[in-house]
Amino acid sequence: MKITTTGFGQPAEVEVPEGDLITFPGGIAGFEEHNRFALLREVELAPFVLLQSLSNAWTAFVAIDLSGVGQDYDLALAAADEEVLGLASRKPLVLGIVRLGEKAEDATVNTLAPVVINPDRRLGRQVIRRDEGYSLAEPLFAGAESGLATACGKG
Amino acid sequence: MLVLARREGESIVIGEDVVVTVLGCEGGIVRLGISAPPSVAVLRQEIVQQVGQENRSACLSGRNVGGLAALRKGYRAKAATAPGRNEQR
Repeated sequence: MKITTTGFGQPAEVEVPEGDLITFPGGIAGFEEHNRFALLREVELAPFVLLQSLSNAWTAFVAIDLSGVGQDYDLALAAADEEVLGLASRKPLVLGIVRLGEKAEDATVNTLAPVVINPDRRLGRQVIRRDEGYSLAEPLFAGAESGLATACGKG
Repeated sequence: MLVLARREGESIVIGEDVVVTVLGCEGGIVRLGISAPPSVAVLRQEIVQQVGQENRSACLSGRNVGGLAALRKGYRAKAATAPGRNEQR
């Protein structure tokens, strides 16, 4: 399906496979009316992806796959989220929304409220972790001993 | 907004499945017990608002994503120099 994205700056049309069109029944916090997103996984963006709203071309997010990032990012989903996403036996795609800063090194990622997607059912939801140690804005590049980029290297 | 007054130990039933019980009240802090099925998320309101705020800050809104190319470059550079890591293509 052809969709319009502004994830690369100016509005551009891209072809997205049906399997990458995800329904978010409740939208995400602050964007509750945005019920469908395209997952744009251009090879040149990896490990980042774009989440492009189909309701509004100007609503797009950079996200990063958290499941590959560190051995510690273990998401035990609440039964509520499992039920909504139909994830009884399937491993979900877990993304952290990235906030870009002035400079590349200022980027942060939301590890407290990851976006969880069931790829088979094409359902998504932003779930809020209730355990400790996660942040709405975790630095992506913090220091030599922490930060997700380094965690990826150790993982 | 529906306003109800409850004493400690008393409860409110919401819909068919949600029960909120006042467990205690001390120093202006009310402890609430919530019984709800797993399909109903129960969250402090301020955390939902904070997540919404963070999402709005993160929304690209057509911002120049030359930043994204720099980000990806920087991320790969970091990952490549971390010990024991094989560069993945």
